[in-house]
Amino acid sequence: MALHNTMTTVTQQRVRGRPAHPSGPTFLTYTPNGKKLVTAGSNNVIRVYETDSDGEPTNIDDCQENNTAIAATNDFFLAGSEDGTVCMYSLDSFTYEKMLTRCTLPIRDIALSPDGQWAAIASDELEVKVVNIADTYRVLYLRGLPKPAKHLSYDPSGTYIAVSCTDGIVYIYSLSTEEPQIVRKVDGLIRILETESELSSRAVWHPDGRAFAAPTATRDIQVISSDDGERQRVFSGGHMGDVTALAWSPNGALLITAASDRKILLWDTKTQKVLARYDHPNVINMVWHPFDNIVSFVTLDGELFIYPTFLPSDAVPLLEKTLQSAPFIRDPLTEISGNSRKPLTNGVKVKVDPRGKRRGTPDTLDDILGPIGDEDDFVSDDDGAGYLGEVNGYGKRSNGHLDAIDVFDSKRRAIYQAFQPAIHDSFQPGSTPWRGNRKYLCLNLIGFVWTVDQDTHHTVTVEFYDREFQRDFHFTDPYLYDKACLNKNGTLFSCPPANGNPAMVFYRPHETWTTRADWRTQLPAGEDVTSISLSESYIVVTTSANYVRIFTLHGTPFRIYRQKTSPTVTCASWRDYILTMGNGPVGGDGSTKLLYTIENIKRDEVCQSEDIVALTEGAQVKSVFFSDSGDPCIYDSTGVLLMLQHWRTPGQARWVPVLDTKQLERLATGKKEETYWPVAVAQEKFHCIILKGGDQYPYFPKPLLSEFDFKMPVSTSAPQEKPETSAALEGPKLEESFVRSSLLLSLLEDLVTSTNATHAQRTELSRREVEVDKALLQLLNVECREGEERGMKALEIVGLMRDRGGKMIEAAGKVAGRYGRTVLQEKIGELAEWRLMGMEDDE
Amino acid sequence: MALPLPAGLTPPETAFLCEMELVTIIPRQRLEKLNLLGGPTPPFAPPHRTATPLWLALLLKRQRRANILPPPWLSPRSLSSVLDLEKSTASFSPPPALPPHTTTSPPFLPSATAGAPPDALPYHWLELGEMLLEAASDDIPEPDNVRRLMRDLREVRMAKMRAGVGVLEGGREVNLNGVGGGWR
Repeated sequence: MALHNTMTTVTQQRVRGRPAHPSGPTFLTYTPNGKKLVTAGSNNVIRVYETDSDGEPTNIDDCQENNTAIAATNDFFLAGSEDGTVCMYSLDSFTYEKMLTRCTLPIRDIALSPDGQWAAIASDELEVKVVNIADTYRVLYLRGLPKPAKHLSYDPSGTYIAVSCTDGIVYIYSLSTEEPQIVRKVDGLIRILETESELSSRAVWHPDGRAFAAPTATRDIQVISSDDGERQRVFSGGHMGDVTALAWSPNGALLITAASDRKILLWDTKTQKVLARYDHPNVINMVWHPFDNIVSFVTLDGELFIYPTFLPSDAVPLLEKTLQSAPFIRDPLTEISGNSRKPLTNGVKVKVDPRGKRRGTPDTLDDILGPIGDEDDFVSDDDGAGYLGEVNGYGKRSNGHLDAIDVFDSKRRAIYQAFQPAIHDSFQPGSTPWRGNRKYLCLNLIGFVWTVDQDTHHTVTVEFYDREFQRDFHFTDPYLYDKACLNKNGTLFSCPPANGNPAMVFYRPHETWTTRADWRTQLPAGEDVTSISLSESYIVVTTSANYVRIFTLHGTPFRIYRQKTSPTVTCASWRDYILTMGNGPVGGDGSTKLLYTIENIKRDEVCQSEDIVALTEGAQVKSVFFSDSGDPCIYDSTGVLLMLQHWRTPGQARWVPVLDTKQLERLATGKKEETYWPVAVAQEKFHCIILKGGDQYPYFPKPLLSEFDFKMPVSTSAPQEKPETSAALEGPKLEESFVRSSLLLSLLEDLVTSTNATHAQRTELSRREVEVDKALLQLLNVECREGEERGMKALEIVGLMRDRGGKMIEAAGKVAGRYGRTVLQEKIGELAEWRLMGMEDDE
Repeated sequence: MALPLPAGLTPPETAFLCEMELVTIIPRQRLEKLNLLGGPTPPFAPPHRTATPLWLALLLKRQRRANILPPPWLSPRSLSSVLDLEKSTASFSPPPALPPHTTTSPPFLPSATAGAPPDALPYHWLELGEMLLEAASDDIPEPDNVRRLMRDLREVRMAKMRAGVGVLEGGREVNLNGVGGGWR
């Protein structure tokens, strides 16, 4: 194994084992302040060691025998025993304080929440108790386990508990609800172990809270990301025996594991390589000192070893680093390309993208952890237990939870206080960020492109919905493409600069009549692709140098210019029209205004120049695309789909909401909690992927597309308490349909006047005109039915009719007549005459 | 000569009638409009959903040219809620409400498309459910569960109807609203 040549077997001066307890399972824990070390074993004495003294420990006699678990805060500690009791002892007076709880079966593990106010207790019973320390009658139960739990661990925020169950599954419970709920099950990770087994299946949270590690059946340590349950990096090939204990260093940069092969291994988190090996048999529990270079462990013989200067000198700098990130295959927070995972927020909590400013210093804590994504963070601090709560003004997690480690905190904050505008990150519409080793490069109505990271290369697969139209294909990709576009003609890829190679764009047409038609082109060195777009006639590439590069489909550079707004955000294209989006001037809320430009490349005309993307405060653009009839659409983070009306005339464009997904009928019951991931707008429907369970992006297996009709947020439909008249329900519906069909008519009118319209389009246009009037006629019908007193509104409705031929107004008169509204009928007649004479004119 | 068939409709006949019902499919390939005796079929453009008659959907499904979107009521959740209702009351769960201003009846109502109400079983629920389970079980979430619930529901309704026969002998009537067709 490659790892073996890097390892060093450390032969430190042997630390004398301290006989703490008789032989048998022994447990130990440090208090969070690191001053005391508490051990418990099979006899009825619990020992408390002072960290800096070699003297005799303080003994607490007359405890329960056969202790099975121990947990401590600075003031007290809890000890669980085989007789099913959990007792609390004071660390000030070293005396018994109270019995916390009692179970019918032996206690197996105790975990204290980071704030020290709750203790999670696993016993051989099927439920895990979470007991409040101050008020032991307040108990939460983690239910739904098929077999008893073996290990428990709190995540660093105290919101989640990972339960390693004896059925070989790790259950993640969320404590943010009244009744704790299972939010994730991770199967196939740990072994099936008995509760009294000396081996470990403990899931240990990495100190950054985004992942946990657990020993697998193959004697490896697997890291699992907590927000999606995906397998991340693995610490493999180290142990020849089953793992009995594991612990992350307080900053997460190192991992120690002990196994039944009589070895303790020290791993580097970043490289997953063994840094050192120590020979120690029968180690069953192991803890790091909260901040010093001390590791303590106990053996099956009841001996306690306290290792000062545990780390070899070359590893000490690792321990002195600030909080390190968990070993992700694709760290969503260091991801530069792909979607902007990080929301742009305005107002009080100004969150700033530090990346633009700081590209020079990689791997600093802030670079890796970045600002907290509001919606992406699995860990949300509901109870104010700290950790996440301390987001400073710039969206940073402060290092307050790390106690003494971070000495720079105050200084740093001072630096941060300088004003920085919040910038909208660039993103590629239709792509998802990495999750595990996969991501979708492109998802649209033609098909989807996805890639799998194979460490040295990627494999890219292109699949089509219409299987007759094109055959699916896939290829090995040494260039590590991270963006793609797919349409009927071909597929466009781009890769970032890597290994000294410049960024590259690659186009592969689906059909050719020559032998070789795909082409690739390299961008000038140092220029990165921020987004790409493919239309039926042009290829658009926006770059980090703020250039917009336009190529023809077969690779002829056609135009290049610098975008007026920078940094660029994204682009989209449809036939000869391209839409580019960039960060404009800074608004009053401290974030940049998004500006878009639409131009016709072929005619070299600018349709809209530096116009504002209408967003509400704090919202951001999730996706930009052209509908199938060529109208620009955006979907924003508030769940509203907006279409651009009159965009071909400069200065006339405006964003019209066509669907508010928050007001969908399927959500009316309030039971469903789902979000929508935009895919396309086609045939006057919004195509999207429904995401459940707090997911932000679609994942594998390939999700089903759903479609929703447009429904403009004109008014909320009346609450259905007393549907006295059907008119009360029909009215708002018809009003909405009037506004909607007017919008669709105007979009089509614009299209027909600006292009060489086909005959079909013209008939469609007249059909739509009739449709608008029809909606009005139905509205009139409702008004007439409602009563005589609605006459004025009814007449107004008739006045709104476009009605070229006069037929509709005639019909309106008949409707009024049918309900016996003679006055109204007369007035409608007058109106019709006026119109006929052309007297009713402008204003 | 009399036909050796029992009175009423045979199972193939009820199935045939049910095949007029519209279901929603996701076509897997493009297909232009076909002019058939029963009217033109809609053009298919993947991945857009299309409502087609069940017979065409089954044909396309068997040839793997389409995926059928099961109607919302053919889900374990809806079926079990209907089953719970049936178990707790003596009558049958109500059929889906008719849309306003309609005079048509099944199979000309879109009662089995993706937009159908999830909480009420339409007239052809039994035949349609069976046929979809037989031909497109891979498109239905938890098919075994659905099959079991359908069977349970059938048993419950069967028991109620048998009990109803006893009432009929007393010269009274039994309300069969919502029970659906296809019983033999």
